[in-house]
Amino acid sequence: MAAVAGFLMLAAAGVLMLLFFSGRLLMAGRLGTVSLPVMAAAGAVASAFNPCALPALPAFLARGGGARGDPGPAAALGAMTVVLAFGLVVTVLGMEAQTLVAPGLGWLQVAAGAVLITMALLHLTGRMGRLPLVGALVTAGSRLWELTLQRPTRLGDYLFGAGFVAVGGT
Amino acid sequence: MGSLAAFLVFGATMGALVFLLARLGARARAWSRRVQPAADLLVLVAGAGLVVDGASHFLDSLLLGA
Repeated sequence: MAAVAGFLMLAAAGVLMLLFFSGRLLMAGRLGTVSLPVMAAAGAVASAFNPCALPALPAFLARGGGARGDPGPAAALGAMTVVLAFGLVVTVLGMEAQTLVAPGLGWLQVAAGAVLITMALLHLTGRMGRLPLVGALVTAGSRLWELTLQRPTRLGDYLFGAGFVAVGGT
Repeated sequence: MGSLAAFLVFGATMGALVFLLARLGARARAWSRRVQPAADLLVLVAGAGLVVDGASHFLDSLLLGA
């Protein structure tokens, strides 16, 4: 019960942070560079509950723990690995990466939206596995999923934490 | 240096959140084994999540003026 209450509180905090960021209430220039770590922490809470993380959350909750005891440390390590790797790449590339992607970003978002909604319809109607190439990938993924459920390991926890952040958190 | 420190804070916070989610997942899985509708609900939530995700990308494209 306490865990559910904790999750709901985290989700509420995440949605609140999303509203703050979308309303541009938390801007680095407005709060000063001293507040950058605060912004980073708030951004992490927001990104864990952003729309891209929503489809991954049920899988995360359904998978549960590893082989022995607490899955938390390995999953957290996986999540931190992805964030730090992403951070290093962005820090090294700097603004150049942004200017490289920016011109086509609008149409990329339209394509991504169309693909995701199509996937949702196929998933909800149970037709995802019947598509020629996607079906084979879904079947292989389902088998891998079953295997990790039957024989859970610390590596599985690590990869799942990394996957959650790679898919939804960043 | 400041941006790297921000990423460190971001990573630590994200790690703490994933830590809590993984622990919660362990409990939720034990619960969903006993209650089948809970497992069905997770499938439904994943589908709804994809719809929300897709819609948010469309919204982003509108904001970007595509």
